[in-house]
Amino acid sequence: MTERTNRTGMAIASLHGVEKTYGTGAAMVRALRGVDLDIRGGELMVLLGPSGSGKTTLLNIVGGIEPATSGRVTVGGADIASLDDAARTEYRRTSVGFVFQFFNLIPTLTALENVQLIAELVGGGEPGRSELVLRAVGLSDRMHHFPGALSGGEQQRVAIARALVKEPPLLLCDEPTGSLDLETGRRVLALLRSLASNDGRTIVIVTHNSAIAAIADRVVTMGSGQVTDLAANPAPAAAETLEW
Amino acid sequence: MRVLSRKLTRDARRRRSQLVAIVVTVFLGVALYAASFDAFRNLQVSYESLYDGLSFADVTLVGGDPEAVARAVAEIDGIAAVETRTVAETPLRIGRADKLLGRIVEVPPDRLPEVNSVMVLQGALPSSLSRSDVLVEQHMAEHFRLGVGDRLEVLTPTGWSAVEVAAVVASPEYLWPARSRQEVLTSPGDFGVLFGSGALIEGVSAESTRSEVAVRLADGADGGAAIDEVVSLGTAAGAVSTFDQTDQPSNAALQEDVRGFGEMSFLFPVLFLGAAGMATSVLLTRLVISQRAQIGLLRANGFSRRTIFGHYLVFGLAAGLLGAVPGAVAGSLLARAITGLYTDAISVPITVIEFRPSTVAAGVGFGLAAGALSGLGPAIRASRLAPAEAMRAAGSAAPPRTGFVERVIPILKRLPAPAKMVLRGIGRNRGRSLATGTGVVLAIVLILASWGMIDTMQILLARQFEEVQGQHAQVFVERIDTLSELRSLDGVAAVEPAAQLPVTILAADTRYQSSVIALPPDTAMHTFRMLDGGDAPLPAAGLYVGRALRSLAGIDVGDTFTLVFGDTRLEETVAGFVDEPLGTTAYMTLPALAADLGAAEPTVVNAAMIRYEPGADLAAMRAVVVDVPGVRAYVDARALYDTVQRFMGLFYAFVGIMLAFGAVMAFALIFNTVSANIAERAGEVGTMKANGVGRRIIGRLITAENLLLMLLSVGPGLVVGHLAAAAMMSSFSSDLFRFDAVIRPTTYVFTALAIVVVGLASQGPVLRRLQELDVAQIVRERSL
Repeated sequence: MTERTNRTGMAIASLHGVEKTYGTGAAMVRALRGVDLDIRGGELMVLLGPSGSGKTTLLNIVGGIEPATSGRVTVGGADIASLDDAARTEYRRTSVGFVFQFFNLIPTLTALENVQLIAELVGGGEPGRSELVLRAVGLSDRMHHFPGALSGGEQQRVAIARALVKEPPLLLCDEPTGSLDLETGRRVLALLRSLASNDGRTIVIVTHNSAIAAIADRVVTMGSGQVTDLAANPAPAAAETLEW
Repeated sequence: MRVLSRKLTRDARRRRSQLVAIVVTVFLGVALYAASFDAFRNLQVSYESLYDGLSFADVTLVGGDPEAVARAVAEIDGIAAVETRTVAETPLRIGRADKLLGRIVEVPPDRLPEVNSVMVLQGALPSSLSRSDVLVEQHMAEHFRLGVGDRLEVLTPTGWSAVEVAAVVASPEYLWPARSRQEVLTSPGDFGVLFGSGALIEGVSAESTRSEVAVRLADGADGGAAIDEVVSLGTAAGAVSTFDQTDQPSNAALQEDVRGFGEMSFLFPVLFLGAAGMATSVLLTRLVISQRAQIGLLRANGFSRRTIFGHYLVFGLAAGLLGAVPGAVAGSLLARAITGLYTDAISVPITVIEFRPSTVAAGVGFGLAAGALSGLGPAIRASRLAPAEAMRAAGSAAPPRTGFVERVIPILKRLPAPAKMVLRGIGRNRGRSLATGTGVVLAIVLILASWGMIDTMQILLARQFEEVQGQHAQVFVERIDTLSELRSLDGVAAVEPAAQLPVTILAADTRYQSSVIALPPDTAMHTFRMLDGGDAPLPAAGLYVGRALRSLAGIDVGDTFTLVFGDTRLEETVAGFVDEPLGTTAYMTLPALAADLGAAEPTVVNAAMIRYEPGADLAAMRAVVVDVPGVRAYVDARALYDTVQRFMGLFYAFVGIMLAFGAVMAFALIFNTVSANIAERAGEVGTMKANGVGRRIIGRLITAENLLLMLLSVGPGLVVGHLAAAAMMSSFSSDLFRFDAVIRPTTYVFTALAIVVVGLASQGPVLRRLQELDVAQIVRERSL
């Protein structure tokens, strides 16, 4: 494994010898096997790999929604592996934003309310912030609709707005286009690319779709719980040009 | 967290039918609590108020020289008033057709008594009560429609002597017109009370009179210690027997009844709130399961466990609060109506109805507690969900697999797929199946506990009046010669001599007011059902006593005890215990009684038991028998039965309401679990619909599963229901009423059928929603 290029900033998250196992005895599964990785500020990293390769587990550990079995995970200089549940909750509240494949919008809240819910959690921010973020993701005329009345792409954009509203240093996206058609998927990826390029956000996208790797600054390939390749992409492609 | 609260509100709105079902159940539980508890307290306060106003005696000393006894107790600290009086037991005659057992209680001629006073309801107290003036107790006045100026007769040694009604009064001693501790269910047509002057009582046979000293304690006196001292000094001064308010026949009967209200105010609300809690738990559990991904998302975004816990707990609390507040208010209002109906039915002249904020507060507290306790489990479950796991797994229902039944009975594996779906559906979410089953069991408990009470009352009363007591009437006679005249009457099948004496039973530290009934050794008028369930003839020696005395007095077969009546004390032996629904009476043979008294048998006879020919007109026979000169008083066994049945009217109405409430509760609970069942499988129902499976087929599958579940729960429900009814009836049992749960087989069948019908009916609204199920919506939201 070689690191080919380093075109982005300092590492804001580092993983050293991270192991993750589920179950015990004969039923034990080693999801991660000694992963070492840096995530740099302002980069768009794609974690690529087949199902079961450990990429979502890695994302969850970086996001603090599940602890590593062993190893060190530092984000912003703090070791999140040693945090207790309350501190990890606080970490998730302030430091990371999540976007999931299945959107996980709350069906009883409108698009705007789904975003406001998180805005309130982190203190509300300035008035109109939620509307602003929704406008930024292109949903200015759909913000009062309930999720059931939105298309898949619109729902995912609401999910992205919801993640962005708390202005997290790190945006973690798990198969963000997994439930979308090509055109909608391209639009979502373009949005993410723009957030990294124009707003300087650090974004990690987990996907099994190798075509998506083309928009990344760096591509981490995983297999059997290990990083098998890490490649820099000096000229990320525009999302609109992707085909899969 | 305004938006989170909004989510909660909308979650509730989406499940409004289930929420309404819970709220209604909480409402019923809290309303029942508030109604029965406030009615219980209102009745207590009404009685206390009347007792205080009329200086109801705290303790009464019977026998001895009343003046000496009064002097002995008057100086005790804490005594407010002492009143001596004479009480005469003498028959009364109203017109020519009615002779009844009567009692004349002495009152001072020129003033109201200081203890055991009376309240004038009609007429006025004469300035000086003459020998021919009487005050009539209200129940008798009402039964015989007696008013001021009407005349009736009292029996004196020289014959019937006319007296005139000066006033109709209420007495604290006869709020419930019980003749004795053992005769609390006396028909007002068979027993009446007059209040008259000492001069009137002097004219009555001295043998039938007793002296009494009634003692009223001062407010704030140490009741227990003062009563002990009164009893001790009074007995030393010559009093033969004593009784306090607890044993005063009227008060004992009323307190028994009030206690029933008190127990109902606990038992039934517990059932309802338990059911409401169960329904809330089912609903919330379903909510948490369906919102796992949302919970995971909220946790992933930094919502704390406490926030998640509070979010779901508030749901339970809100359901509790929404039902409890109107329930407590409605219950308080209902209590007013119940109290009024009740005091009106038994003619309590003072009705105190109070609004008790503490009852409302407690009711609201109970509703909140039910909501909180039932929401606790799901809320903890939600708060403990790990975000990654919550978003990874679709739900927590156990993965469907070959069920236990199929593994045990392999042939079931050959069933068609729909039948297997039904069978496996039960094991699929064991928690929900358990909740449905528990709901069925709770509903059956409520119905059987209510209906079982009616059955038990009816069966045991029939046993008392149709099996234990063989007579149609008991008459009190002057001499044994009268029996031959009675035997010669047309329509009379059998007449037996009898003696009935009011006694005090003394055993160890226990003093118990009772009656001794002496009958011929081979009596055919009374069946003695013993503790072992078998029947036995009267013992040649010793007495049979009611089973309650075994525990009350700590005596057993072969033990000796003392019988006190008048100035006579007899040492007797327990020959056995009879198991009778009403009263705790002692029975012996006439020869044994005569021997104990050292008298000839004919001289101890004071009554006769009469049985008429089959088909005899009871009213006509009464008129004929009453007309026999030697008959002093007539007690119609059937009229007593009818009185009891009338007395039970209010009780039946209450139980009827409970049955209706039970049906609502069963409906609400089963509706909620069935709703959860359907919501849980919205995805698969949507898929089936998408594949062209019709609503009817889906409805039939769901119905079959629920029906199977209900049928499986009915058996345990009937067992638990029987035990609950037995426990409830046992809590109503006392020395006056012995109620062992006896439930008719048809009641079990009807209960089971009713539950299945209610269960199937509760599916209706849910199955209708299948029609409206939006498959696209389900797929789009991926949760419901």
